[in-house]
Amino acid sequence: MNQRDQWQTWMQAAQQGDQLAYAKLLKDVCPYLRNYLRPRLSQQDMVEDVVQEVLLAIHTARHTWNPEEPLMPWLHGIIRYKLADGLRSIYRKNQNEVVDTDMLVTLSVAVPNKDAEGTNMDMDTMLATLTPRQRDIVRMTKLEGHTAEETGQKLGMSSSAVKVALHRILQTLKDQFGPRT
Amino acid sequence: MKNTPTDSLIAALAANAKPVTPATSIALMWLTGLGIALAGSLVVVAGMGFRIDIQHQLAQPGFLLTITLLVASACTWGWATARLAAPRWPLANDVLASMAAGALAWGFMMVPDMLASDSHSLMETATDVSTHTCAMIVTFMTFPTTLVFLAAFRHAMPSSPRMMMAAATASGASFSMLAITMLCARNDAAHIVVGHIIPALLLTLAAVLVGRHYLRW
Repeated sequence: MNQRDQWQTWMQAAQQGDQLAYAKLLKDVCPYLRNYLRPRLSQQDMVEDVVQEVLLAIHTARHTWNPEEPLMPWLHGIIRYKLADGLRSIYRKNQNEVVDTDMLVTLSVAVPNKDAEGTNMDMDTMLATLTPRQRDIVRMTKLEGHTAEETGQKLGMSSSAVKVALHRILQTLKDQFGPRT
Repeated sequence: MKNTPTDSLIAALAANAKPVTPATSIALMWLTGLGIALAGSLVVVAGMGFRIDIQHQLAQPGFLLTITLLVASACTWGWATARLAAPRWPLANDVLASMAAGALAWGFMMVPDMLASDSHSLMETATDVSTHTCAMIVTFMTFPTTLVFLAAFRHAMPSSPRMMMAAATASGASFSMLAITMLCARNDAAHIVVGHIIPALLLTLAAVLVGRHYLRW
């Protein structure tokens, strides 16, 4: 029995509630997913995220697979859908980098420049407008240099949630304190 | 996501793997969608009143061919919707064939009117139904018929959501065009193109735009 037939058999068993077969299938699929996704994603740190998204999607959509049909087109439908989501998130993130950079420049100028006191907004004043949790996210990621994953671990959030929250916070600060156009 | 190592995620998913019923009832869902949409369209037509020359038209091969093409397009677009409701890549041949058949049926819809010998005489007996009224009817009827299809596939997890939304809308629009063909006595090509076909095409294109957001999973 080749690998694909084996997966098909495991998936049929998984649909009937066989947890062992299901775990074997998901474990066996992971290296295939990583190999498939690596050349298609420019940011390698996203590969594992997309692999996990695909695994979750397989779980959610497992009732949509018809056992009379081959498994691979169904699996590739899910991979393609989640890959597109991952790429969209990368593009969004890249667009957001511009916003982040602007904000970092604003922050770094605002802190040490004593001469500009009164004209530049003090960072503490800006951070004071945030909730304690938002302050923690900005402090840990932008001032202390922690990664989103580390921040997420400390604050009990997923890395994606940290990234989304950070983007929103920076956008809010930019709207409030950024240069008016 | 990265907080959870993939192995832990697999263990958690496997622990929650309850038996599921595989989706094998695509044909049933398809027939349900078609049946409800057809019944709804006929109720609307009966409520608004059939076109004044319906008796005459029912004896015309061209009119019957138009009706057949519209029913065929509704069925083929509906089938494409049903098949797109589950993840799959590349698309199955029957999905591509049914979408091509639906598009062809729309394309050939004008042929019977162009060939009909009494088209011009019927133009003279046209009712006061204006083009924009027909366009409005097609537009507003397409929404419920499309929703019927989407409700039939409410647990859909399409890997091509834009395509599925477009196919569902095209099927709904085919039923709307079927209804308007029964309602509107104007047979001139310009009216049919502007009042009947273009609104359906525009709605289908709009569905492509909103599909990804509406059918996200």
